[in-house]
Amino acid sequence: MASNFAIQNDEERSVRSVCGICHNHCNIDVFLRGGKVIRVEGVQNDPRTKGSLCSKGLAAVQYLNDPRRLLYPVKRIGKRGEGKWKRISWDDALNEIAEKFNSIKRKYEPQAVLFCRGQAASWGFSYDILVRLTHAFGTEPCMGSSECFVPRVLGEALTNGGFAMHHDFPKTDLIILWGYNPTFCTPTQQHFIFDAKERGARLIVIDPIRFHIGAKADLFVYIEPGTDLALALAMMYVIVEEGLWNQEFVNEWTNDPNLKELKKHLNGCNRDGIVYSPEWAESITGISKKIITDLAREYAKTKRACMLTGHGLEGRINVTQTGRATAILKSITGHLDAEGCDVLVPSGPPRNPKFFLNEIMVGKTLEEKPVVNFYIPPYPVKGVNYPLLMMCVGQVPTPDALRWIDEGHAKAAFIQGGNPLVMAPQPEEIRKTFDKLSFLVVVDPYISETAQMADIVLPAATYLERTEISWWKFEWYLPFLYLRQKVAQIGEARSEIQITIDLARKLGLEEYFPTDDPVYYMDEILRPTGITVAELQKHPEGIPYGTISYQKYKTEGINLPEGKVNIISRILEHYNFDPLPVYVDGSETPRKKDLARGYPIIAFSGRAGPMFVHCQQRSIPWLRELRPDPLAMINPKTASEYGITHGDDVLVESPRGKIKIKAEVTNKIGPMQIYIPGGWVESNYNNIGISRDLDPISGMANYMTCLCRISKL
Amino acid sequence: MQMGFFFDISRCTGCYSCEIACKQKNNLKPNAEANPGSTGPRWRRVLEFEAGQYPEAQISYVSLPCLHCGKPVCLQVCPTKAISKSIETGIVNVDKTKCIGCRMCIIACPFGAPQFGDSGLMEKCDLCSDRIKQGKSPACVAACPAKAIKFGSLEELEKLAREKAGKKLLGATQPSFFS
Repeated sequence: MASNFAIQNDEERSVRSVCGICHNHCNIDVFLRGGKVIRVEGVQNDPRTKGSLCSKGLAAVQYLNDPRRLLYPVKRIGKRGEGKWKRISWDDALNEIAEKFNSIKRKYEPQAVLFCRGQAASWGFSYDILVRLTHAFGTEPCMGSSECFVPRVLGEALTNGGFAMHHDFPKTDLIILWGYNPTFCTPTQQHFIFDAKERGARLIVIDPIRFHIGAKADLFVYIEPGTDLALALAMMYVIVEEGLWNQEFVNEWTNDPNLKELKKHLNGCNRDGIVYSPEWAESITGISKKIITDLAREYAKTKRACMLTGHGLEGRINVTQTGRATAILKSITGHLDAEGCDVLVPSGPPRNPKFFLNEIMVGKTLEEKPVVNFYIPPYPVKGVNYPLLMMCVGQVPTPDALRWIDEGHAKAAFIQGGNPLVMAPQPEEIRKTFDKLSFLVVVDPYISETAQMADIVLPAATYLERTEISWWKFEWYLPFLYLRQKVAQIGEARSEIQITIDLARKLGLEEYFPTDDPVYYMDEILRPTGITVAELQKHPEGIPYGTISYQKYKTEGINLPEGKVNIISRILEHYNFDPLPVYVDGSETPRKKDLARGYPIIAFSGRAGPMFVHCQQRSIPWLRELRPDPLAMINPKTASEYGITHGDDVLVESPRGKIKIKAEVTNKIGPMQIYIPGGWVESNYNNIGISRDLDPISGMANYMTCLCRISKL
Repeated sequence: MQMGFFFDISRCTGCYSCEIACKQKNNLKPNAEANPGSTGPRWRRVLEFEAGQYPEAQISYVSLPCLHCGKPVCLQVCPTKAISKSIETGIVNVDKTKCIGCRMCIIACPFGAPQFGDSGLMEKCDLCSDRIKQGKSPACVAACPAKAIKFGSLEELEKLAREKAGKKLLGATQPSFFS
């Protein structure tokens, strides 16, 4: 492949590429001099970013040249976690991995080798090619989907047949951000929100913490963490009782004409006999019944309204039903796929179905296909207890994969771009589980906490060292294909895509991996689009593969049972789950007196700030300088009750563990709560978090909220 | 002509893009390695302010560069005449070869703009003079995801500020800054 970076020249020049520091994939110009990356900027005429870039993306040069990066493959020579390594060649590393994986496969079964994914390896093609490898090997990819986004999206997909991830900001009159802070996740599209505001659109933010974009809201609504489902049900109640729902859409396009069943359900005809009224929700969410009623009325009565939900609704055992409830709100108000609202989009370009080698996989009995929003294996997978999540994204859910290890079915694992020893609840339990593996391979730019346990660690390339097709985008969706360009090479790092291909060939799967050239596979998967890598090389501005359009259901229908929006979920009914969302608490709450005895404070977690993605970038100096230490937010009232002042070390304890963290005493948060930003190894919320409670539908762990006690150290 | 910045507080969400864009453009050396917990020079500083009590507390973010004052007090107090003001653009510059690191400027500056890195010499925002000459926006302006920062001549900024019900920052040093 042409390597742009190899051209030596003292003139400054730029290469159009795609950022990859998070999964939002903003277009960038990379500036080089003398073959070295000197700067990265946003693309000034890009319609999505308007030339902007976030702090993480702007620190690219420090990330690329981070002296802590792993530069060549290493093999562990000490005990697990001892940190003793020996440099080995790529050939030796891949030969040993292939030999171990093949011998385990021969002795047991293909499923005894887990091919796991984390966020850092990025989604899109690098994931698709791993699916090809696992199928060629005879198994499915694992993990990386029950952790955050997918369990919530599953709720939307079960309801609306897809995920409305394009938000029509330029035409909207109301933007509701619910547990979602674009300052963290999609900063480069914030200009759309402010342009809309200046046009007169209202911004409403629902969150337990008022900061960043929340500080700019026309209406800010504090909510108790984990109770969003109660708010959504009560909003539904107001809309149904006051007749604010969209008759035309509901009667023609949903499976509950006149909302007959929903109305009964909300009025107490449910498992618990609870009327989901604003009064009831006030006692759970802490939001006054007046605000709940006003919120429902405003959303229902504003014809062009966007509702963006986020990570704040995740990491609890009611996540999928919460996703269902917010999806129902979008539908009954007629906001689904409408102008100025949330618009359904494909999750990527049409891809060659043959690329995924589904025919290799056993058990050809076709199970009902609920949604095609994501790639779905059209067959049931053995040993999976959360089949709905598996069908939504095609990855073995994390709790299933961990169980396979604990029960001794899985003997080896290959982890790409994931660090479960930091990001999963109760890291010590994960460590014990991984310790049962006879062979562990980790692919990462660093020797991460998880890599410390590995037998072999392979150095992953950063996004500046990879040429690959890119399409994955959030929030303001552009159905365009772009090419990310390799502009550097540090040490012997290789891209995940290249590693997947090289490993497949060592595993003896040359029949499906006939060449080591990634371009062959990219062209192969893009076949239905008629777009090739060579053509993308000629079009740095990208090539469209689709359009954004409204009300597609009128021509395409809704891709669900009955061909309609499933207010009553036929798929959940089929799997013996509640077909209409029934309220359960998302996690531990002070309202459960027995749990709260001795642990009166709500601890909750989430993203660490606009400068970090998950547990990453802590070693990037410019970013670390912005937040040298993890800081736990505590309201001044609560702080003074416990004798805590700003900057004090605080001990946070749950029955499952304890952490030490510095206090940020602030009015951004309410009393009797403590916010512990996620992804910090040294003050890891997961040490006190809950690992055993799972969402019965998606298998998502309850890892965002629990009860705790605090004391000054 | 006098160049300056317009900062739209109603748009700033405290994402730190401007601060890192500035560090990248000017290759500002971080200090975290030598002194953990400390920061290197910040030619742009994103500051967070909190007022009032929960649940009514107001949180705001301000991104503050050098304000390229009409009557820069830093220039007046500098004993070595290291600080100058461009006649064409009004941009306040520092000549590091003349600076002796006495820090009179930081004592005098009402806005805390002068910065000191490892060299101990003063350094600060130069409004990306080189980029402006090339017809580009300053790095912070280009990178801002909320489009909260604008630059231009005082007349252009005055007009922008009027549209946003903003105004010129008052002060004895006559800062070229609108908000």
